[in-house]
Amino acid sequence: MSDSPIKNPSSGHEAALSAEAGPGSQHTDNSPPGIRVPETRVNGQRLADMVGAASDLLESHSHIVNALNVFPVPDGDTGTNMSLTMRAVAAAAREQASTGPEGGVGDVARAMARRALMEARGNSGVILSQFFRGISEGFDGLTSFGPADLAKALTAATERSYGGVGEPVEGTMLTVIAAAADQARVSASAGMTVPDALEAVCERARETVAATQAMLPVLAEAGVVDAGGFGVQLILRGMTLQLAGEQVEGVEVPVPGGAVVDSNVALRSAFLDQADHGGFGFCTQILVDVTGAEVAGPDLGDVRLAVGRLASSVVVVGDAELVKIHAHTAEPDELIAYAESLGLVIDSSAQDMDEQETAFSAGHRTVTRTVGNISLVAMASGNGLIALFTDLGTFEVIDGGRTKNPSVKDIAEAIERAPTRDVIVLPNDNNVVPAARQAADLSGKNVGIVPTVSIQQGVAAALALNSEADLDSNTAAMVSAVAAVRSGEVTIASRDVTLDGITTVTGAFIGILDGTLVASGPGLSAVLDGLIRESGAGDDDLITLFRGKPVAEPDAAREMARLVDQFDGVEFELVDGGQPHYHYLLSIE
Amino acid sequence: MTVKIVVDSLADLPAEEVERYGIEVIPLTVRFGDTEFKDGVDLTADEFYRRLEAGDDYPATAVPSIGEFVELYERVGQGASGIISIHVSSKVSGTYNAAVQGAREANVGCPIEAVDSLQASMGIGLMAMVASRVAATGADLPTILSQVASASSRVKCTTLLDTLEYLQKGGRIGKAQALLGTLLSFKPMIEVTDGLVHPFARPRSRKKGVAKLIERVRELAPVDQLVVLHSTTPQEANALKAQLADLTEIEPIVARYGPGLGTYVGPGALGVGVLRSETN
Repeated sequence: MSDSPIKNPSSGHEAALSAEAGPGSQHTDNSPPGIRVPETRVNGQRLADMVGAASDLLESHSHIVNALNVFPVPDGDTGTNMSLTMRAVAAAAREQASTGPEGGVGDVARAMARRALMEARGNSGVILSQFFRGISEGFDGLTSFGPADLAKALTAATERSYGGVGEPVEGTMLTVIAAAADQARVSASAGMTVPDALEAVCERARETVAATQAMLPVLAEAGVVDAGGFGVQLILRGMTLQLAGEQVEGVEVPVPGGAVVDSNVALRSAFLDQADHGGFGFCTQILVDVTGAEVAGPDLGDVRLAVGRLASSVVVVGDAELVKIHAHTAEPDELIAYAESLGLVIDSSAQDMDEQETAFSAGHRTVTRTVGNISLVAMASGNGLIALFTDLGTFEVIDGGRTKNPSVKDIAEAIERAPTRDVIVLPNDNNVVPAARQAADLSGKNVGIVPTVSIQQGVAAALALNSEADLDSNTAAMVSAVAAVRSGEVTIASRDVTLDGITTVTGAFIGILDGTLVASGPGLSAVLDGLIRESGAGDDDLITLFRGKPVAEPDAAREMARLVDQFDGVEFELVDGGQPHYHYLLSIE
Repeated sequence: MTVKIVVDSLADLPAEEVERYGIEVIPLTVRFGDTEFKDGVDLTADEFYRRLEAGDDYPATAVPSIGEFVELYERVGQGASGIISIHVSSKVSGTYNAAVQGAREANVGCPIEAVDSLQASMGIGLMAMVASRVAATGADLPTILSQVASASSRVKCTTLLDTLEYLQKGGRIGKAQALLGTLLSFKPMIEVTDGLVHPFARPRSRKKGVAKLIERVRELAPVDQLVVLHSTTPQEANALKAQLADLTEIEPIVARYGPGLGTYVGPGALGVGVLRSETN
């Protein structure tokens, strides 16, 4: 069954509720004047049963609560922590209720609060322990509770919960507790019975949980509602179901607000796996003016469904005039095309969320990414190398290399596009260094040039990037990283020449080490070997081979296996560079 | 009557130091699936890393309850003139908050000061050792607190990880997210700065990473106290200690990332922690 209103709260379970009414009762003081209904009160045993049901319902949903957990830290254990805390609370309530004369709600609530204090697990447990402390203050001295007592207890619970955290944050379980207390007060003044009041409290909690997504950006980003808040809703729902005489076993409470959690595949692991694979894609936001559309004011549910087919973490809000779409997708263009079918797209943005972009972006340049204090602009040719620089946190990779030098304007514009005042440029080629310097002079920004003369040096420099550090320390770190790397390259001679004492003929393979011709011959493998021998690479050294466009992948893999055998003690790594003209670039460190 | 010092188990203080200084350690809960342990009490580091590498479940940590803090403070408070309770950065854990609540609730005849170290591991441990040394001179609470504050600005911990996997799965990766990369292999290095995990460097090999740790300590020198930390490589830690020995007059401490901290750094982590001298 679903989280639906109970059908008839007053039938079938009167026996468990005691009807205490009438003049003289301290509990009628809060009833509004003119309303005189016999107050249905809940005794200690019933309270213990209700808390037991709450614990059971929470426990059966704890994997979902875990999956929702992204705040305050996405460690996916809010459900476990809350369940363990509630299990202890329920046990304490049961023990206390069974003691007979000491089993009034005041005593039961005090026992629950005490146990929660000791057994609370995690952040959510700490807040829950304060919650129960407030409840016990509200029920202090009572043998049974009515609607006004419930309101009082939830109010005290709210105060205690907020007091239990250093810096209360809205959009969390605190907000849900506060809303529940507010509803309890409203229900009590409206003269509702406890079952009706609790039902209203549950509904209000459900609405509030749904609203948490809009209150905390981190929840919106992950497309979830607050885990702790949902936990509170489950506790309240479990208590309400029990009071209505219903079983909680088998009850499935949906996550409010349309956050979809597949109970088999925890969202958290999906969330993290995405991060593992760089699959966050683009955080895409689109604003559509739908006033001029054929069908004004599209059904937001339909939009949500349609966007959900194209993207994840979908949030759709809007009215008859404007619709705003937020979603994560690898293909923002598809999403924008869909949005155009709804009306006039007046604003759209697609921000790359991957700190670890992979083989994407074969285009001229990459897109904006989240950065710290500093942005890196680098030159490279070849999809693999462009992806690699992006992967290492480069803001923009300008397609350019030995045979295709970018202009001063290309570099200057990239510097201006960078989102930070401080920019570091990696020319990655001797011929590009002057253009980079000129571009830096033209710019009003603080531009550092690390005069890298090879891709290999550029990679070493990019690895040293610390976007948290300032320009000077980054530049210094990069310069020293560059110094630790030797650059090798293998290509084909374009003319007959004798250089550095080596004679080569057109069409032969040549090996160049830091600008000096060191090997030549008809065979690629022999030239590679000669180059590596010349570099003096030995034990514990690392050689990264960037495979160029002229070499097929299986050939490179075979070459790599051969080198590993040939050069004992040297570590090799093969990377898909995709650079034109150069069969291999070698970074020797 | 002296001031007593309390830390949580994420301080990674070696047993000898705990004993020497009479520091009280409140354990966090470390959970593998449905099985719960008290960090360092019924779960040793050896057993923890064995389970971790067996790899069935990712562990998780949970903060001590307010009640556990109350109980500890009430016990430790007997015969003490004050309690200083130093805890892992509030930006990555609720432990400090639980300590504050516990201090409020505890029925103790002396003042209790909870301190947010904005540190983790021996960053906390170094602050607690300073606090204990000052407390041993019979200093009062405000004097010790000001020394702790000074220490907090002089403490720096740098860690070379084998993998970011545990930091990420544990939800504590913070700004070190920037270190995630897939196309080129490197060893992630992190630092705790202002209470959060920050990226530090991306050496291509472990050997280069170790060199970076040494370089970092030399940068931070002169130091009053030096700690070398490891999770599963004691010999490597001892070798690193030997390489750093000339930098400090006091013999460097070798400590181990315990189960709580190990939940986030994983096996193969190697680190340094320093307390810089006041002169720099």
